[in-house]
Amino acid sequence: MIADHIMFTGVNVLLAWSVYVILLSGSVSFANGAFMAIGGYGAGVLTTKFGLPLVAGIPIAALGTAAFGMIIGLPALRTRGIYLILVTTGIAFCVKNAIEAIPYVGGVRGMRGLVGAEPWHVWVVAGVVGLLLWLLSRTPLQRILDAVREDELVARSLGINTVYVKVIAFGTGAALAAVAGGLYAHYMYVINPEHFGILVSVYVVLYVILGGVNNLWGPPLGAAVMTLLPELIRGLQAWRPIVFGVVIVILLLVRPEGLLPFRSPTARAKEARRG
Amino acid sequence: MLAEQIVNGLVLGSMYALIALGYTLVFGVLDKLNFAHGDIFMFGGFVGVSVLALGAPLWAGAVAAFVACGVLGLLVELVSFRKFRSHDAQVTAALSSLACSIILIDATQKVWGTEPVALTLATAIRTASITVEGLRVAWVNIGILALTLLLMAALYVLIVRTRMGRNIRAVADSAVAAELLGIDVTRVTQQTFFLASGLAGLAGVMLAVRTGFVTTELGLTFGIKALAVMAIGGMGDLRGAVVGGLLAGLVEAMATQLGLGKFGDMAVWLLMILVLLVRPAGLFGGLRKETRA
Amino acid sequence: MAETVLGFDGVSKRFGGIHALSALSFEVRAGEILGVIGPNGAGKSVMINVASGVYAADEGRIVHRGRDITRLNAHQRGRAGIARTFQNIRLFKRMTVLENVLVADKTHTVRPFGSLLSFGRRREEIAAALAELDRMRLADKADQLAGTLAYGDARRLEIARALAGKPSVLFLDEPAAGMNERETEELLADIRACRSRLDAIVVVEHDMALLRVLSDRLVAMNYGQLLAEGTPDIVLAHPEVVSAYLGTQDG
Repeated sequence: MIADHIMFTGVNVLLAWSVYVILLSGSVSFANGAFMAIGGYGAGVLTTKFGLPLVAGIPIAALGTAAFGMIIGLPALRTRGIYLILVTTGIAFCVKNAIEAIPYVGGVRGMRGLVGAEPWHVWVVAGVVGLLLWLLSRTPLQRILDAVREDELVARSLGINTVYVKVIAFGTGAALAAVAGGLYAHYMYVINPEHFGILVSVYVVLYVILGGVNNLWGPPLGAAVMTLLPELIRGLQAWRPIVFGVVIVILLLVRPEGLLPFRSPTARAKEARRG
Repeated sequence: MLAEQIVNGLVLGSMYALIALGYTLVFGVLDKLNFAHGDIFMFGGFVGVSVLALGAPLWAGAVAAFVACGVLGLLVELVSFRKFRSHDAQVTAALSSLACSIILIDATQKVWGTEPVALTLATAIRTASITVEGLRVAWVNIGILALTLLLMAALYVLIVRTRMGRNIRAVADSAVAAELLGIDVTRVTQQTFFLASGLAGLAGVMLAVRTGFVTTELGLTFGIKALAVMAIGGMGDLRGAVVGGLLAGLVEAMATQLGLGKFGDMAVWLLMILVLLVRPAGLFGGLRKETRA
Repeated sequence: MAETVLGFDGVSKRFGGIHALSALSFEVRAGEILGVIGPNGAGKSVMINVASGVYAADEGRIVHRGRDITRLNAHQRGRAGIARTFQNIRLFKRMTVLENVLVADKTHTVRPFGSLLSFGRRREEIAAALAELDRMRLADKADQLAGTLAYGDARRLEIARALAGKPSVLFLDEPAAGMNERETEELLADIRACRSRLDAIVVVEHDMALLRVLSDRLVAMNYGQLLAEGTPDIVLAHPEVVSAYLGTQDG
């Protein structure tokens, strides 16, 4: 049981970061559950049908998912706001329906025999991702992403190829979600399309908004709190969705910027004078 | 057989249209998505079934669902939309209403359980049919078609002819201008939510009567498809919702006819993605502010 | 005669049936401050949007330093050296003043992912950005959020940001709008101070008095068409310009 909590919290932290990476460039993705599914199923096929080890299967699946994400992202990212929410929601539904229709991966009954992932694997990956995001937050790239998110038109006028930036961010987020999916699948032993329904995508976006999108610590905090909170309070498990929903509604009303709303500037004036 | 499927498609489509009208009304007035709408539709089915279980007549179940869902819509407006008026808050409002829908699903399960709940209505009513030129049509289907047509006509008259409709159109056009003209925007928003949610509630009862049961999954499996329908027709466009709904119903029925049931679902979403990419304003809508350069 | 830096050659832009620009031709010469005047709706802002690639021209050519840039999109024009400000000041409000300038650094805007490997240049970049801010008298506000700036400061930050990309031509869209007399005076001085760092500056305004003192040459527009081009005295005395102004506004 404890192992489950550690595992699922780690997976959700990774997923939250996968949404965060896309949000960095200003796009909201409701398709990360689908990317997770592609990663999970892709890695599953590679390990069970081709006998690849997990350490090879997951990166390959992640690269494939990134490519898929970028190919659909190229047209999809021309839309914004509500339109993009709808498009990514549509993608999530299509991917799930498509998987259900593929007998090779077990259709609605799912796929079995996926083993090899341990909770600590997820946390090692999460640690690495966190470190990379922290390094990113101190580079000019972070500023460029912020600019694209704040005002695309101005960003373009400064010479930033916003489409390119957004597509790469989308692909990176897709790859991260795929890694989370691959690890999740190989911990679960059995996966089926229901594990990656639209609600998974929705929940993850909610974790991120709840934690705050202005810094890299908000999303994992939101994910950890919302995964563990109902488990920590005895008797609350049965009420999990309601607690979850009520907490979201209230937090959005009182803290629309999330639990950790601050944003650290990527540079300060005094840095130029130091040393 | 084909004719039967066409009738099926039209009946299905008219229910999609009824729900899509709600999505599109709210989008028109607020420029925001109400993600709770699909589950308000689901809830309407449960209210209808429960009222009928008490032995009340069909019309009473429909009225109860309309009112209960209308009130629920007001509640959603209050917690998820009232505070998030600005254009920047589009995503926040959408997520907040999503949270409402999570609460609504779980609350419904707490009251009625997770298993499908059967409708208590004389089987005779549900299966009665007439045969016209060799085509057997259930009275239920005729009733649903007739009622949705009636509701759409009523909605049209309401929007075009009445003072309330004029106000709704004014706010949809420009909330700021409407406010300057002395229109109470909050009130108009509430009226829109009540109306949109009530219609979804009625659609819920119709579906329950047609299929004979309700489940809490209906919002996610059936209701949310109306979201795609709305986008296909043109967000904020009433004609678009109706035509898009009928189109989606027919496409699904044809997919079933051809033995591609699974792909009928997907077709609606694929079509929506295509429409949003190629013609973001939908089949009918003129270009809205947001989609312009 | 000075060399042409940017040329509009018969440029047209239509929205639906409306001709926002019709066969507009004029040139921006090296070293000059070119004023563009015209009543509201004359197509001045559309001209900037077409020049900076926000809208694609329907007809005609735009040539920058001998290179046809008509088909380039917005970010390619930015890279080519066309910079601009916006009529309704558009800063990155949730970023600091310093970051607003830093983000325009061409090395990073052109190769955003290359910037992942640029830890070493950090200090020089910040120093350069601070110097840019200093020129616009904003250095002491460097760590403030851009969204908290007063109106005049915000205007100048927008100019500083545009200059940080070391552009060739800078378009200013009604820079003095909403400013009082003293602020306008200061702004004129700031604009003059930066002219030596650019090939040319184009200032769009409908305040004739301001353009008369600021610009070397003027272009007058109405209904998307060129009315007159030349020195301020000649253009402002042009009968069509006079009637366009007298007919539509009194300022």
